[in-house]
Amino acid sequence: MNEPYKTIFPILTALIVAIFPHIGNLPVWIILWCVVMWGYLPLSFKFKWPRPGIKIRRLLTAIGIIGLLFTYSRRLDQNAYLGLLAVMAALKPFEIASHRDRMITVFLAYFIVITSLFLAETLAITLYMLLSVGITTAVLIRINDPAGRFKDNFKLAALIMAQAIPLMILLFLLFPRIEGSLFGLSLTNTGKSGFSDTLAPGSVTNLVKNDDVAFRVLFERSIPPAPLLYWRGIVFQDFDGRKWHVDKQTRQWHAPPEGKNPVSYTITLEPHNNRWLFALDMPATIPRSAIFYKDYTLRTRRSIKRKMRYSMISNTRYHPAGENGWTLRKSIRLPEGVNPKTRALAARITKNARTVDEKVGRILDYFRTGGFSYTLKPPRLGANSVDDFIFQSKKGYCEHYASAFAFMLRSIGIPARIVGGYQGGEVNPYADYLIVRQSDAHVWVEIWYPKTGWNRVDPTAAVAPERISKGIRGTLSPDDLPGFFGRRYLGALSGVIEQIRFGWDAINTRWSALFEGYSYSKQRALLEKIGITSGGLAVSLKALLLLLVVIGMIVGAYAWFALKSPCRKPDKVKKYYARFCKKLSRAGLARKAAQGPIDYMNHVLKNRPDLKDEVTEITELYVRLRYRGQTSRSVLSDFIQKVRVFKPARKESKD
Amino acid sequence: MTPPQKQKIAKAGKSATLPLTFNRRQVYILPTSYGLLFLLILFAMLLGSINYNNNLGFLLVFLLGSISLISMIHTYRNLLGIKILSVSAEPVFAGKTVLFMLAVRAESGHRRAIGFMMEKEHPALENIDVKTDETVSVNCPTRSRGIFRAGRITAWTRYPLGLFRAWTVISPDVSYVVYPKPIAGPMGFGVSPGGDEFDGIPVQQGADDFSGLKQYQPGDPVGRISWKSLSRGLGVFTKEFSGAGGISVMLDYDAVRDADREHKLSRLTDMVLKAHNMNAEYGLMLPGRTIAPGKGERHKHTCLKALAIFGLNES
Repeated sequence: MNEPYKTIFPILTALIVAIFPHIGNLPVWIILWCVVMWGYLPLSFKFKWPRPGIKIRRLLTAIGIIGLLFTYSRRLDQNAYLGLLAVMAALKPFEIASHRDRMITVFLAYFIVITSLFLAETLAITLYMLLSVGITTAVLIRINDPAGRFKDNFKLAALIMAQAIPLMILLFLLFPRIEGSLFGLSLTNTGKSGFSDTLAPGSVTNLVKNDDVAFRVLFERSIPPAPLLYWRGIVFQDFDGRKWHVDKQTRQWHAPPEGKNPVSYTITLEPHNNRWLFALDMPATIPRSAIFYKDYTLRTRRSIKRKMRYSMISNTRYHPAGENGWTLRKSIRLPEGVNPKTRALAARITKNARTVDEKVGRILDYFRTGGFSYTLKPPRLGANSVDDFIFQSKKGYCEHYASAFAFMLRSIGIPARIVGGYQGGEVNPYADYLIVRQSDAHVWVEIWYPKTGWNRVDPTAAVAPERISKGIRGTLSPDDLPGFFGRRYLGALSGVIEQIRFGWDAINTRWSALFEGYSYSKQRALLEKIGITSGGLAVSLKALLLLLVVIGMIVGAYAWFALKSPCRKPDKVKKYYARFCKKLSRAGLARKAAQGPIDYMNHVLKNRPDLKDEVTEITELYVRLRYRGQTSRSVLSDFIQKVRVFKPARKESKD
Repeated sequence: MTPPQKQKIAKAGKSATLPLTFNRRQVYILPTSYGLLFLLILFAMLLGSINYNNNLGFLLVFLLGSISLISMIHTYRNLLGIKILSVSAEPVFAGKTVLFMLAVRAESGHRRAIGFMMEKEHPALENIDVKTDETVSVNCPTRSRGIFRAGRITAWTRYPLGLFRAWTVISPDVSYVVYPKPIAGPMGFGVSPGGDEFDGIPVQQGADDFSGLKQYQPGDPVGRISWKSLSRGLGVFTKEFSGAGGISVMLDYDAVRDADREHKLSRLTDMVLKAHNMNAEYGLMLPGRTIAPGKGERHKHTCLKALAIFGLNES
């Protein structure tokens, strides 16, 4: 085998495998750069093309760095770091003449593999990373043993990894974790889809077209019925005539309102690049790392850029305490002059109603009977969007109804606001948890009743009650539904795909609960279980000590087995042959010092022909084991067994 | 020419008797510079994982850390239990490289990529198959003539990951002869003991009678290989000549016209070789030692060895 096949191609393979999962985060020119460099190298060997010398390599490095500066000068983040690694990894294989260069190139591959900590921590990525480490390790073995076979390199890499995994698990569990971040750096992630802090006609409709998971919910007990599954996230307080805005001045609040019928659950929230947390209406506890606001919403301190898990209790029935006048005045404020027809309509239909309840009922009745329809494809609306909606199009999605409803209420002096979040969710049949997707996005209205405080009223339920009871999938026609191609065109097969999706989602969720959920607090709980309890730094120190002791023991045990066993195996053959000789010598046929096993056998056979079968067999096995290198387990055990049962009679009768 | 190094001969450190097996007390292990670099990378990535509180990062850092720890055992084990059966070295001329042949064996398990070396150099890496006697060679440059004890031989390995280097040092109880460096010149002896002056060995024409072929043995002069029989595919044979003219020369130390002792010895070495190649019968006269005329490989070695140790304290 010549040089490129021995080391260069394996190293190229390791680099390609390492960089593959990052392709999505690299700019196109870097991907092309890698493809060109890594493509040129094998071709240059095949067609004897010139390979770049030191000067050209320096020039290429300079070009690469200039390219990186252009690409990342605006934002220096983990993608810039990844880009740098990729540009270097593309050039490095051109200079791997020495052992040192080869080692450093393989380290570069490891470096890229570990960079996957910037990727999502899904099960698939984790498994891929293990595979990638295995391949890179095999290549590292390869360059330290260029004469070996690939198969042996891979076998040894697998063995080493198998031996390393118990240690890895121990380190993972016991290595002291800290709360929060070390340097205050955090990842910059281009957030996925989700609510923004304004609500305009069409903003929820856009979300609904997206089938991405917003969050998953695991309930401690049974899943509450669909009409109660209102996932509260944002409160839109201010209306500017077209858009609803979050009230920037909402203050922090010390405690959630009181209520009944508590439900416990854990939410795994996908990153959405905003600060709000979603909770079942109405949150009764405040998770760690969250802040509770006066409008009964929860937010984190920083925007959510990584998957986040939090456990909560919510009350499905609640009675909020009193509200201050300032907030209530804000909740009836409307801009002058917009939607005059709607104002007049609201005044007209609630003219004779006396209580708030009655007025609300009249307006809902109007929506129910006024010929409105529920659709994902509403026509465009003009400047007076509510007027246009109510008197012309009469077609809309939840944000149209909520917006019109809240507008009408405010115009007749009833404090109202819009709440954004999600409604419903899909139950995963394999693991009994709820998957809430962007397509479950929903907005509804909260009305202030003088006696009972803020209460949820959903105008969509009046127009399209099946939206609440059956969820989005039961409401819209298949043509309107978001999601994959299969739902529409694959018919029966789509059911199978759906099942596979649920199964995979269930496995991933279980993984994420076990793996991603492991944190400072879980570690504390684990340490408490094994009896390390005293608080603060001492726990970390004790855990570290325990870790060192256990790892020392494991490595010691490995070493003991690994370093002892080679001396033991051959001894067994020797030992049992010695026992065989001893048995014969007791029968009066001692082996002389210089006598080889065959000579000895002949000597025995001459004197004791009656022992012929056994002695020949044992000697033959011994010779096979000792001199012909047949060390298989079956031969060895056969030999041992035969020696054990061998019982030469003391003397022959005629002797 | 550098003076012979007596101190090297006198120096007798702890020497190991062969055969010997590498055991745990003799095998040392330390991380290589790559191992330290790897550790540094892992530490940086650990800080990253702690900062981002990223479990996948933790997992990978701990996996790689565990792998390097496990590789330490594999590296150590790769060297342990190797048996050195014997060490031998053919005599060489000063300035040439002496080649130590080590017969090694591993009773259990294949051993991969093991280097044997004497000086700081990059030896070829050897693989030792299980239960097979393997021969590995170690080079060592020579400078001056004499009999030397083999120096310390280092056996080392970085297999499998190159992050650790295990090594052991053996000083086998083996000595080797370094002949003086031959210096070409006329076969002149100046004034012979008899007082006659002659140049070169008197070679009688026709006296070299071809007497037959014998199986080639390493060390036979190349000029005598029977190329004819080789080209016919009969094997390698050496032509034998009877008598070599029946002449017998005495190579006399005092007869060499040269002031420098080392130079004289070098000239004599050259003459011994020439006489041997001509298949002549020759003897050697050194102050204090005379070797009767003779011929053959053994005789040549006796003469050359006498030249190698002449004037040195033989221990």
